[in-house]
Amino acid sequence: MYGWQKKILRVDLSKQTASFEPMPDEVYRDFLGGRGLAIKILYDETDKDTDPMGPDNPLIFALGPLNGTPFGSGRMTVMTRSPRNGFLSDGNIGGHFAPQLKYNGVDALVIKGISEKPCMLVIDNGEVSFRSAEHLWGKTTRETERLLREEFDDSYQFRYIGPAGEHCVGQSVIVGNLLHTGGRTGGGMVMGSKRLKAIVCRGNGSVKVADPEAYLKAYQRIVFELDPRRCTDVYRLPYGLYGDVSVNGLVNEYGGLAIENGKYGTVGGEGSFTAEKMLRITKKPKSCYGCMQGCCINWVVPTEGKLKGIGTQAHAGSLNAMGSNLRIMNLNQQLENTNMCCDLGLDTFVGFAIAWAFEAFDKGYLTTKDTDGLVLKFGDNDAVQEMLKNIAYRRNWIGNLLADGLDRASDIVADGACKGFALQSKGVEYSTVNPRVYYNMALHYAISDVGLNHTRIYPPYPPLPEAVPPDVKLPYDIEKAKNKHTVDDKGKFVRWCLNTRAVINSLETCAYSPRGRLYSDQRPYAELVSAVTGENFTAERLYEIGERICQLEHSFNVRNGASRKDDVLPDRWTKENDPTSGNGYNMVVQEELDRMIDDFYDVSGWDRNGIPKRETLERFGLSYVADELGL
Amino acid sequence: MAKILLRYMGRFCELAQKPLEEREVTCKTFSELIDLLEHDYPGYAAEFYNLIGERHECTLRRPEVASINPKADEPVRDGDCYGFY
Ligand code: SF4
Repeated sequence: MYGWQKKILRVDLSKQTASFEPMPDEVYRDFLGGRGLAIKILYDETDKDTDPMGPDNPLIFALGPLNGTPFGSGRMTVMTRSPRNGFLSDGNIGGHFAPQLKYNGVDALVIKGISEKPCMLVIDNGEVSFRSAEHLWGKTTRETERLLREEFDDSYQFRYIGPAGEHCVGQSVIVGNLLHTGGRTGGGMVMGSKRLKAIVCRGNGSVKVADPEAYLKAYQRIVFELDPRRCTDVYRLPYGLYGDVSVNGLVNEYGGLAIENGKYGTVGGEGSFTAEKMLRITKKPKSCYGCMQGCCINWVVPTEGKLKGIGTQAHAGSLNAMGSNLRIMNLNQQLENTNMCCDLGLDTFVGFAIAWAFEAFDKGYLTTKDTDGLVLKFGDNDAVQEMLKNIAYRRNWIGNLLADGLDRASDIVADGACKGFALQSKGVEYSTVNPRVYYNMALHYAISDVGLNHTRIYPPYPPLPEAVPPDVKLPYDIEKAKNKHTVDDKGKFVRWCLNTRAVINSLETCAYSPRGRLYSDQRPYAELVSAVTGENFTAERLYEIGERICQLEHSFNVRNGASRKDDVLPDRWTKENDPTSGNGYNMVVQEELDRMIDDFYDVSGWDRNGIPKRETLERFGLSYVADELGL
Repeated sequence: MAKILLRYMGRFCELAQKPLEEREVTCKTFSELIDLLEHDYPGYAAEFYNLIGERHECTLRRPEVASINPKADEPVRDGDCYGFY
């Protein structure tokens, strides 16, 4: 058995039972692992009547063939049916947990049932046990990590939820290593609904590599491509040196930030979110297991404010969502807010739900009667922090309402009068990367199967022409796809980007890994996974698998009622002009969005209502899905 | 003479040893501006250009355009704001 373990671990929390089950070879052949494996399990084991909060909805943690090998593979998929919208919930968590799980001899952990009392699941070298987590229930994630560390030695890794997950808050996340989070599209909420406070894991096994020499060669090729001295990706070096926060200054220049509930795309002057300020308090970038870039999250120790001397995480989108988006321009306060999100087990993009409430209050649609006397005002950090607690603990009417998600809240308040500035789609809040600037992102956000999640097409623009090897043919024109003033080739680009990123997520390496030439050329990944598994993978075969995964994910949503009616963007982006956010019109023109959606459906082999055609699904060996959808 | 704003991000901040500055410059085009910065902060041009002249990002903000990536012959105008990443 090389690369894959070809087994999954099934856990039933209602019965407190666990079993290891074999997975058939063809699942790996067709779906690779990680995200691909997860959607195969989720599709097959649910139907349109599966209650997302019920015992039959599986919470799946899935690993890929590269997990547990030295190549950037601390990543892990978390997938479930989302209670937020009934559609797909898919996230990806970094850190150090994934290899430990794989060393238990499994490729996935599938959790069903609901525990009677708060519990923790302990997976220790192939032995599974259930322990009470009543002493952890109600604790913040930081306290949970500390208490778990007292109970288990350093060889264990943990994943846990905070108070937000316990209260089944829509924006709750699963957390690990204090700062790695995932599951914002519903995973945290489902873990809470199962009363599963924590998963503890340790594994002493290994991952066998079929051809170690070929593995090393492929690995070195990727190291070569990612060497900052020659990598053509403009972000490679700054991310490695300063973390991804370094990008916020540039995004501010582009007009791509979210300011005041995304009304504007930039603030003048130095801003308070720049990497340059952050540099002074950064201790070191925190890397996931085996990552050679180590670039996404910085560990920072503020020199003043409530967090003075205490370490916390800093991440680009989080500081924007919980900072300038709420007109909080003080860096220390921004860090306090993102740290509070982490502690409460809340997604930092909950900042868009709070910013919406601030704007609704400002316009008179909400009053102090709705907020227990709290005045909601942009720039007031005490109000921001009160709102975080209101939401995480579902403390009062407004907190409870927002905890159900921005979609529902904006339907209810003033009978939908505030819907236009609710930055959400399919019930999932905006995660920054401004669609008014990037038309590729506008299209992706509209058609995304998991709501507003930018990571599925990272980065949202095509490669530099110089970074495309001459023998690689891309299915779109780079210049056209890059041009943010036209709709041309956006459908083709987004289809390509979704397919190739699905491969990355199924190998279980990082979305930040395909930089420079690796962005357009997946041959090094094919060599790597071939060497690990002993199977012959080519870049073309990987691409086909990537699209199969995407087609099955979309079919999952179609089975649960999705169609073109769901592929919409809020009016703020399609009707409001922001002179600071720079495409040709400073907004997403609806007719152009419609054209891009048509193009995307065409290139995906779907009808104009967003439903896959039978022949498309057959092409990917998914005729059983076509049958089920009645095509 | 054009009065312009320069923002130095990432490694450019380290080269210039400051995050931003306002300057009055006589250079006519973007490439002349890079020459000026190279003169003041040795190594700047090498850091900025790749073989085809567009490795790192520079954004140019003007009131009438939200942002563009200036090419070598882009005229430098009063009120321009350049951000280097
Ligand atoms: S690039 Fe960042 S997120 Fe990705 S694996 Fe490395 S440290 Fe983790």
